Order: sequence, then C-alpha cells, then structure tokens
Amino acid sequence: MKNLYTPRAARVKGIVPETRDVRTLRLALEDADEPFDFAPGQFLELSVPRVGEATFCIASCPGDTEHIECSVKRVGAVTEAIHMLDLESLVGIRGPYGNGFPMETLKGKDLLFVGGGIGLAPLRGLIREVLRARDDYGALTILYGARTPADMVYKDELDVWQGRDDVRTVLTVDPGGETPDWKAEVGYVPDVLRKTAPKPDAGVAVVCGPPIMIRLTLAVFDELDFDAECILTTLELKMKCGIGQCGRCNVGPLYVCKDGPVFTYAQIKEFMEDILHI
Amino acid sequence: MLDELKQHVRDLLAGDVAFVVAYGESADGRTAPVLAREPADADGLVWNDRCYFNLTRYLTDRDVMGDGEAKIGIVVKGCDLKTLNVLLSEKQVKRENLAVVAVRCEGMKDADGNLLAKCETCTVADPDPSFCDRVIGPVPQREPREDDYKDVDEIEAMSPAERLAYWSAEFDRCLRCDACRNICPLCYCRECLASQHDPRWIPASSSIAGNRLFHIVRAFHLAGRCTNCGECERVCPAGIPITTLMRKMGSVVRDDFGFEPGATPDQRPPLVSFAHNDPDPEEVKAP
Amino acid sequence: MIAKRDQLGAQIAELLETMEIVAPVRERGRVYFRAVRSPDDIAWDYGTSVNSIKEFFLPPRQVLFCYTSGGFKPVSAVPEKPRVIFLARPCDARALNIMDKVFLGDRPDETYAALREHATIVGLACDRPDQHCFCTSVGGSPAGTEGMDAILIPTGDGSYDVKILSDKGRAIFPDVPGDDSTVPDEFVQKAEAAIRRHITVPDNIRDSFASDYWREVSETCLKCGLCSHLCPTCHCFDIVEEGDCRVRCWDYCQSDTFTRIAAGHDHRAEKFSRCRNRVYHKFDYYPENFGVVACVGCGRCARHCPVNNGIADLVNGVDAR
Repeated sequence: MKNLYTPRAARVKGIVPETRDVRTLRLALEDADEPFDFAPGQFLELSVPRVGEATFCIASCPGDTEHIECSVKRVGAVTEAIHMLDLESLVGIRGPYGNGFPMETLKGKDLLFVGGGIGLAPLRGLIREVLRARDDYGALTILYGARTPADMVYKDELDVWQGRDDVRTVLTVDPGGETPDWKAEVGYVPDVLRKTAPKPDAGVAVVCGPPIMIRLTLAVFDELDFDAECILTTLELKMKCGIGQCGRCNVGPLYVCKDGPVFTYAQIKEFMEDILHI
Repeated sequence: MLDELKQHVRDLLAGDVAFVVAYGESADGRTAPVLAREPADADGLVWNDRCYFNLTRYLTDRDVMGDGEAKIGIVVKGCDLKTLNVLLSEKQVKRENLAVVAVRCEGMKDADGNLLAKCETCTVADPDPSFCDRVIGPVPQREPREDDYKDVDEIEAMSPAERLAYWSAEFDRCLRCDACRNICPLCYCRECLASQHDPRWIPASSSIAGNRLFHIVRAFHLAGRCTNCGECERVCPAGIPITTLMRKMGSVVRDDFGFEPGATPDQRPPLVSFAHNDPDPEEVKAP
Repeated sequence: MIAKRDQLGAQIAELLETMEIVAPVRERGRVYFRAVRSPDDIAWDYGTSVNSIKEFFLPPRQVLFCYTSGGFKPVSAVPEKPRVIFLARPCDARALNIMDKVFLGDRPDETYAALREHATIVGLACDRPDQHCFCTSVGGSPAGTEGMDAILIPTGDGSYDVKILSDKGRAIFPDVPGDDSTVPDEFVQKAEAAIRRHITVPDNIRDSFASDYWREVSETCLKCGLCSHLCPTCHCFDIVEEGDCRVRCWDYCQSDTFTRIAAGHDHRAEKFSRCRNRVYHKFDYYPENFGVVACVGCGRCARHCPVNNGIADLVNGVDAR
C-alpha cells in the first residue's frame, strides 16, 4: 500500500554549481504516472536514500518542462549528501506541496522582488513565470543581494535580467563584501531597499531570504508605509512531513507547509512574536 | 523548622541573592520545585515528606541560570548535597555564587505513602555542614539499614542470556520520553548524544536498538557520577528499574577505583583522571 | 442490557480467537493499555491508565518504506487482525475524534485510517475521576460516548449496563438489544459532579501571547517529552532514517531539536517559547483550525509531570494577566 511518505523515484540530470556552497540540481521523475504540476512558490521534499529528506523550494517555473530544479545550500547531513550526488544518482521526490504564489492577484501589478542569498531560489521560479508573460505585468524591479559577488546564485540569469530593458535589476553585496571590480551597490538589502524608496502604490512586493533579512526588510516596508496585504514572503522553518500533520512548522495557527510557504505580511504580522527569533 | 527555613530564604532574597530554588506549591496545590525571587515568595515555601525533587537539577538549567554569574540560593537534602558536590567537582557551578541551605530529613514518601527505597538506606539525613552555608531542622532520628544491593544481585545471578532477556524486556517498555534524562541534574550536556542528528549515534525512535543504546550509554555516562537520587526511576512512566542499573555501575566504580561520587566538592572523577595505582584491566575480575 | 464481568470476560475470550484485544492491565503498581492474551489479565476496576490508546492508532514507531536498489518500497502497517479497545475512558475515546481532524483531513493518512477502520472502541463510563481530571471543562464528560462503538456503564456491583452505539459495537455484542444508547441521567449527573478540577480557557487567549506570564510559568519545566508522550491528543512526530528504512516516530515540541534547522538556528530556542507554543497549539490554534480544543482533560500531563506542573494550570492563570 502506497503511503503519503513514500517518495517518487527521480534521477539527477544536471548539476550546476552556483557558489562555493550552493548547487542547483536538475531532476527528472522516473515514472510518468502523474504529472508534477506545480506553481511557483511551492516546494518539494527531496530524499537522499539512507541519508534523509529535506525541504527545497522549486526554483524552476511550470513552463520549464524538461526538469524540476531546486537549489541546495550545504548546511547539514542531508545537504552534504546532496552535494555529493552524481549525474544519474537516484533520489526521491515528494510533492509539490504548499500554496504557491497567487499568480492571478499579481497580474497587471508593478512587482518588486527582494531577494537575499539563496532566497533568490523561490523568486527565480516566480520571475521566470512572470517573464514568460511579461505583458501581463506592470513595472518589474529585482533587488538582490548576497554577502559577496561570489555568493550570488544564478549569475548567468542575473546577467540576462540586467540585460533586459523591461526589468530594473539592482544588485548589492554586504558592506565589506565588495571586490575591486564590483560596480553595483554596496549595502545590506534592507538598507538598499530603503535607499531606493519604492512607493507604496498598487504594486506587490515579494521578499525571500535568510530569516533576519526577511525580518528587517519587512520592517523597512513598514517604514515606507506599504500595505501589509501587498507584501508577500516565503517562510522556511524546519519541516518533516510537508503536509501539515507532524506539527512542527507552525507560525501561530498557520503551517508553513500547508498554509504557506507563501504568506502575506498581513497574515503573519500577528504572529511575529512567535517567530521573532527567526 | 519550616518557619526557620522561610525566614532564612526571606533574608537571602532581601540580600544579594537573585532567586532561591526551593520546595513550594504548584498552581494546583501539590509540592513542587519553585524559584522564589522576592522575599514575599518565601511565604509559599513548603517542607514535607513529598519534597523528593533533587533541586540541583536547576543548577544546570541554562534557561534558569542564564550566564551563571548571579548569586542564587538552593535548598538541598543530604542526598541532593552529594549531587551538588559532583557538580562542583565537575566545575559546572561556582560555589561562591551559591547560598546552600541544607535541610535535615526524615525521609521522603511515594504517592502511596511508602518510604522511598533510597531513604531506607540513607546515611546523609544529617547533611555535612562543611558543604553548606546553613543547616536547618531537627536531628533525624531514623536509623538507616544497610543497602543490600538485592536488586543488583538478582540480576548478577542471571546468566548473560537471561540478563539480555531481562533488560531487553525492560527497555522495550521505554517510550523515549526523555524524562529520566531531563530530570537528572548530571545529564547536562548541551547536545545530548541521543539528540544528535549528524551523525545519528542513537536511533531517535523507540526501536529495540535505540532504546537499548539510550539506556546503556546513559548508564555509562553516569558511571562514577550518579549519586542515586532515584529521580530517574520515580519519573519513568514505564516503571523501568533505572536505579538498579545506575547502582550496578556505581558499585563497579566503587570496587575498582575506590571512588564514591559526591563525597566532597573537589574530587577528581576517576574516568577523567589517571593514577599510577589505577586497577590493571588484566587483574580486574570479570563480573 | 446488564452483563456481569464473567459474561463479558467470556465474550472477550471468544473474540480473542479472531481479534486483538487491548485492555487495561496492572503492571508494576500502575495500569497500562496493552494487548491481552486472556480476560484474566484485565484490570476491570482501574481508575486511570498511564498510557492512552493513542499508540494503537499512531504507532510510536512505524516503518514507512524501505530502500530497494531501484527505489522505495512502501511498508504496510495495516494490522492483520482487527482490534477491540476494551474499557477505554470517555476522554481517551473522544481524543481519537480530535486526532482524526489531522490524520483524516485533506490528506488522509493511510495507516491511521486503516487502524481506525479496524478498531472497535468499547468504552467504560467513568465513576472515579481523580483530582487531576477535568474533562468537563473542555467539552467532554465522564459519561460521554463520543468516539465509542459501545459503552459499558458500571452499575456498582461488578456488572455493567451495555449500550450499543454503532454497527461495529453491535458486531462485538450481537445479543445486546440496540434501541437505547443513552447513558442514564442519574449516572451522568453523579459522574460530572465528581469532577473536582475545572479550568477556564479564555476566549481572548491570543491577547496574552507576548505576556511575561509564559516565562514565569515555564521556569521549572524540564523540557522533557513526558506530557506529550502520554497526552492522548499530542500527535507531533519525526521522520528519520533507520538503516534501510524510513521511520515515523513520536516526537515532542519541547525537545531541543524540534524546530532547530540544519544551519543551527532555532526560533524557539528559549524554553518559555516552547511551553507557550504547546499551550497555544492545544487551546488556540487547534480550535481555530479545526473547531475543537486539542485537550480532553484526562489529567495525564499534571498527574505524571516530573515536577508537578500541569497544562491545566497554565491555561487557567492566563486570564488573570
């Protein structure tokens, strides 16, 4: 009897090193039994046989039909094992889980994407999806920062976005992280955001990054008088089941795996005290 | 005696002591550990035959102790004082930061009103004043009986196969609730081996291997350290005879190294020290 | 229909031929729900059991799948024999309905569903609450029948009035006429009056989230998992690799590693935030998500807490702040 926790077999079809501790995997399911229909912002549970399972947001977009992509930062036992996988290695996938970005409510709006470090991963799927139908959206701004230029992920794609004249791209590195040839901004993402001073009009902001960056960035949006309903963020807490049953990933009454990982700032504002130390 | 204890704690709290770990009442009126912080809190202290808690447990609680620099008070029975001596020997708490209030004790009882096994053989009912700052209470009258180690001997009389069956049956009852570990004052590792994920030394689930490893490893980690406060067995929901295992380990350390944990606050634990007359493994008799 | 113990015992003995019977047994001076081999093992006049019947639906350890050379082979945890849980207290029976909201919700857990399907719950109405029981404060009753397929109401002289509550109950007691399934008012009133412990769950409990109260009341908590393991509605679990298999096992939110991520960060590193989260999960979030408090007032948390704390106390004191 199949159960909710048995992964689907998949193979690693591509490995893209992004930084010294991040690599992107391109995965393909072994069986074609069920399509892996996902929306940007959803996540999957990736298993390395006999090592464990971990949560990764899907960094590709539904239009990328060849592979499912996720970017993995090496931080512990499972991610260490993922970084040792070869092409054709067997892995397991459960999912897609989570609520995904509310694409319909983004249509026609100006969009401001704010990403930090590996937080660009869930944003990339969303940005790709938006760019596939560029005319359906208003002005697009991408603000992305990392510790140093070397720590930036999707460097090739950043170049492509910077090359487009229908997207405004602002890159920044942390103070002290700049290299002699760095030409763009220097400053923490929340500070650069404050400096660019976006107007709180009918646009939507989408924020992804390390917990402290999210917290400080949301605080800047408060300063800039943004409507909390118009700010989206993806949260990441420790997960196990991915389907709202193991009780682990709650933010107040909301489960990151089931009610999220995409939340409006308005939804979680009430529970910031519960995740104050994220 | 309770009045004297309350007054003393009141005085400590009116002085430079940040809080006193003592016996008080829980919100539903049962005897329970409490942290008295204001002098008025001393009014709520209790002393009765249900004060079995070993309050030294809170001296290794990081949420309670913070940076460990504050001056605090603690109420101890003679048995708890032994545990305090081990903590001092292991440099886990600073003596100069403690106001040690010892209470003389006639023994503690379980929920059915029976004297606890450890109290029947207790020789420290009148705490050694050289380890405390104050001793309170009337001199205990009860004469202890000798610890006959009957429970340990019964198992020693079993063949290895019988022992395996016995302990396997016991450990199978374990839920891995961690109550025994968490109430032990000497289980103070920041990252317990049993909780470590990477590598996962001990299976997290209540598997046969996981349960056996948990209890056997814990027994080894407490060998030569456990002072037999018995709290582990008291709190175990499955009734596993943990103190039997601990007393066995303790008797091995006593026989081989002549070492009794908790006798003084400046002992050198045998398993982390070397002496020229350490027993030769070739000569140590197999049990 | 009134049945004596030996009649019921004979019925149990017959059922044992084809079914697993789980009933309260006396071990080491306490009572536990265990699979029994004979009706003689049953502790008929028990008050409370240490364990609840949760473990017969959410196993403490369950193999999910095993690794094969080409993939992942699911393992079935469907029991071979159907099961009767005999003499379950109303609090424990009701707890199953509360857990169903999670495990039989939008993504039904196959194992849990099968174990529920295969089990018949025969309850024992409660005429002996102890000082920790508070079922009436959380929507239950010592004479409640929620979650049961049949109920035995003690008549006080070693006999029981047997009432059928469902088809499954009828299959266990085919000779019992099934018209009347209500517990007599007299028993209900006497039983509810015997409850000594009452708590009030404040409507506005969420307003107290940031209060210092949680730091105060959690001071002596040991962060062990005893309350969660014994609680009939606590169901948080871990998923781990064990050898060639992946296993689901009970976990507890007070554990140091419950919310700690691989990179080392933990948003509930402080003890008080874990204690607070557990209380809110049961008394605020679960009601918001599922319409019912995740507590049946069985009293096990207070009864067995190593340092005599009690979750009922924690909720009771909130209003005053």
